[in-house]
Amino acid sequence: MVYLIEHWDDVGQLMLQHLWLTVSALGIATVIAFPVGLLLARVAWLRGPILGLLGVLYTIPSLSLLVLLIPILRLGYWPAVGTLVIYAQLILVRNIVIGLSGVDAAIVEAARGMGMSDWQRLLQVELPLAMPLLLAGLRIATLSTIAIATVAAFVNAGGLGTLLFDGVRSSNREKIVAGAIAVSALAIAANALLRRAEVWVSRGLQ
Amino acid sequence: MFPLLVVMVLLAACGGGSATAPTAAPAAEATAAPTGSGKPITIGSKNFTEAILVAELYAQVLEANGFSVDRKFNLGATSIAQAALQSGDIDVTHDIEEALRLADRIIVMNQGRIVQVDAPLALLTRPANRFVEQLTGADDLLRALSLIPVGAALSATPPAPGSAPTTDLTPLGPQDSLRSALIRLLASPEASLPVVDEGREVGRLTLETLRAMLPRRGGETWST
Repeated sequence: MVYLIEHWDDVGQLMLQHLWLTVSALGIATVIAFPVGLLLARVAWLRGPILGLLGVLYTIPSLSLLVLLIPILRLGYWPAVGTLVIYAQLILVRNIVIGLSGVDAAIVEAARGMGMSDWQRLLQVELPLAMPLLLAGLRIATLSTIAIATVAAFVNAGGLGTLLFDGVRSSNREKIVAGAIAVSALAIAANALLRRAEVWVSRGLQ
Repeated sequence: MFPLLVVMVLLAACGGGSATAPTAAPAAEATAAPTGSGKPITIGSKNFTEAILVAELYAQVLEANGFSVDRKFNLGATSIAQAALQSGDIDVTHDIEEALRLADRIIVMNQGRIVQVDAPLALLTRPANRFVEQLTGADDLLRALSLIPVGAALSATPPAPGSAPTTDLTPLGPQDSLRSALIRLLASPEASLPVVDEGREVGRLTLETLRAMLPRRGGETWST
């Protein structure tokens, strides 16, 4: 705890790096996952193979994934973000598919009966109804991304992993504790924020 | 492959100036453009204290010599350092074989001093001193030849004049080593062997071409 108090500026900077890694990775991951999720929600037979593939990617250990990405994305920020994006896909895509296909068929049918186009139905009926599940997916993905982002330290991309692994390397318990507390604080804050958004959205639906 | 890559062989004062640093040293590798072009040399290290210290020593020596240095220390695993070296993301290695294979220009350091900055071929054929000669293995003639590709020998010497049309000899490729070329030449009845790159004959290798590539010390051809 002493370390955390004495070096709050260092920890804060690493925390910001960690946050930036998480946010940018989630941004990119969402942009990719959204169309994929929409496609899978419409084309049922693709679900098995694609979710299976994402599941396989999810099981690759982070260190191996980093090594695989370095020849393409070089050293530093990008392989770290690439790894996080790949891991987030399974959770995000799965939740989009479940959310969209979980919308009551009768409501979709009613929307069609009212003469809504495909896009109108998606934007005005299906997405709002699926929103709590989509946000739940985003929340889980955020938490796992915050946790996994510690490996960014392995490729010189910064983040709180630097603190944790420096602590492990130099047997400095203070650093490990400080890193762990900082990561947990990020995760708890992100969880609370997104949980609130979920509650707010589901209240809006009633 | 990496037109601007400069792999540096940084040898700290370790023991009797041996060719490779102890295994505990970092997998440090560095990329950089030739001196003065301003592109920094990236020094990597693995994530343990000794590795980071040694990498920092390298960085400071290079900076003292006017190079700009990019520090990428604290890498999480050998496989990461290795992948980054292969992709040209870090430029320092202790492994001369690796340096000769990957680099366009090599900075050789001994005892904290830069002793030679040259292309791999030049390091092999014109080592600046005894240390470089031993480091690159240029003092072992066959070893030196095994590290020089046929293509480099062809481009370094004028084409052999008046070569006879090829019989059905298996051609040499530009990536073959001069060592295997020498063996082929010795075994062949022909005075020269064709070098074929992607189906096109790019030149002929003779014993003369090969001899011109032999390492020299002060203008003298090696005497072994």
